[in-house]
Amino acid sequence: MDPRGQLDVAVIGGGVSGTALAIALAASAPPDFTACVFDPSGLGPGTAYAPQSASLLLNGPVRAMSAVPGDPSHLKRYLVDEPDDALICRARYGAYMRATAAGALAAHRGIRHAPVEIAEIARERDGFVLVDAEARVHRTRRVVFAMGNFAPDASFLPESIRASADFANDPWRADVGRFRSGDIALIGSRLTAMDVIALLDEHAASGRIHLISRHGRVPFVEDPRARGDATVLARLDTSTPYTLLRSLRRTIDDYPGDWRAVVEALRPVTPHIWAAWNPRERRRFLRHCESLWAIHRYRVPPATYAVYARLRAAGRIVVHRARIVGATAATRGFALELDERGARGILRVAGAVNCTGPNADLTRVASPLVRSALAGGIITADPLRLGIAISETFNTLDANGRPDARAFAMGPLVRGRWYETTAIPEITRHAAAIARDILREHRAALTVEAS
Amino acid sequence: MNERTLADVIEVPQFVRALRRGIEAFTRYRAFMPLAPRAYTRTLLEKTDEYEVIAMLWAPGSVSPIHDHGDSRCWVIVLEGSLDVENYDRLDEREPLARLRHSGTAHFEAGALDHRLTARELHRVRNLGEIGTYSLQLYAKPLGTFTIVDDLTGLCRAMQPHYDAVVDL
Repeated sequence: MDPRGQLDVAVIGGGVSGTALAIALAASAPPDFTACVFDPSGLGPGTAYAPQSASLLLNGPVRAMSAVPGDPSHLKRYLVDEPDDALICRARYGAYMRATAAGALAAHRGIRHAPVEIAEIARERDGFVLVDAEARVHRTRRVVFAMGNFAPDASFLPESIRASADFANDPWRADVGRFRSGDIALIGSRLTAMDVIALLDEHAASGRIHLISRHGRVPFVEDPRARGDATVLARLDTSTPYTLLRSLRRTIDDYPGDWRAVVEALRPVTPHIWAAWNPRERRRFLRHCESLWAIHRYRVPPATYAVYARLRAAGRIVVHRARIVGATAATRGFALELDERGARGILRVAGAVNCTGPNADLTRVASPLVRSALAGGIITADPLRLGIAISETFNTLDANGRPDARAFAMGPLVRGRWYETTAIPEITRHAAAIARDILREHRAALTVEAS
Repeated sequence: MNERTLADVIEVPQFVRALRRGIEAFTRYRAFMPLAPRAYTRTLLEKTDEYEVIAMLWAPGSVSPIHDHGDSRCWVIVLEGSLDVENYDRLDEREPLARLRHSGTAHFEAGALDHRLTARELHRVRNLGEIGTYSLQLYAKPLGTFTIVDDLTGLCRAMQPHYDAVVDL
């Protein structure tokens, strides 16, 4: 650290994104390099891998989930006894992230973790000033925003639901077990809803589970053996979302093997296809194709899907392709007014859980840090409301679109730039790229000072 | 150089077209590709100002030097067999001697695509299988001067690419 106590880099967020970056930095940083990861809830699992439930599984296999960039078998060696294609428990993965982070910090004494929340950020001449929730000041030359996922947005729901004690807006911070008696509404029908169903079943819930979503689509089941077949890429027409979807459908129809091989093949090129589309095409994709793409791309672990299939077959799960247009609070729960493709109906439930997934619209996020970073022009919101706008080198952009060479963002919050940024293989890859750029600049600065 | 998106060096539809032509050419010329015992051979299938497509035949036991791709981006598709890619981090930037750290090894089976975010990442490729491996490499721009690093001494050398065969399309 330099004499004024300025860090070389401050990483905000110690979930998987911030941890992956700390691991990448610790692997190659020179001994004089200093970094601090700020996160009040520890370093490693973040929100995604913290829940301690045996029902919550990874939806990516062991072979694809290493936290160490360039070393894909790292997780397999840590687990010792799990095969390549196993989908392990998320809590166990959280423990792996924690252990790997601890190892990285032990290996480099300049890199540490501070269990505090950063509440404010401002620019100064040669870096940034951070103020934590206890009003302590930290100075840093560079900053990396790695905050991960924010709680879901509930602004589209009637006030009578949002204000009720029978509504849980953040399934990862709520006790889902309290909804085990009576019928319950899950708003959203994708992976989060599938996880909540598994949790409810673990708590021996007895009521009906109503899934309410605009398209009424439920994700497909994962086959952990699925591997991408890149040769199918030659058959795709990627020019617009529609041509892509059409050619994808044709390719899947003609493909002799499992369709997942085609979807998986697209994954490494998705960022490039997304980046090549103009904003109008991206918007079209989000409006018309995203839901269909998501249920094929983000698949449910077989064990979780089995719970869903069993309850659905028993009539305990009802899928509504509907919008919630009104709600009245009752003594317990609500009467939801649904618009199911034009037909209005009333659905009475004892509780509701928001399963629409993380909120990436920064203008609607209740975080003092985000507010202060937006106000100071250190970050800007992605125009499609998919998190933080960044350059191709992960630098945040100011209001005029100019990249800030000292501020970076990564993880789920940079989806607007690459689209595929939320899963482990992409996160570790991005962490490695950011670490490389930071360390290159750090070494170059040292050379200048020495001469 | 910060080429992070394919679209910066080659348009995606062009990439897809190049891939289609590459796979067709490979199917046609597979039987005629040169084979060198315990070594790999490179057959040029197509070259434009923007990109080049090369089919490689990796004999069992063949291994490349530790290398980067200069200023080009490289996409590798394993068509038959398998490849193991060892990744290396550079711990300093002082040429001509590089300090390297082996960060890990990735295994690729047929159908897999290996791609890198940046051009300068150092790696070494091996065929550890018992049969020959065929792969298709797409470089954009065409591969120019690149660096190889001696794994014992760390000595860096600038190299020019070579072709063992050129297919006249």
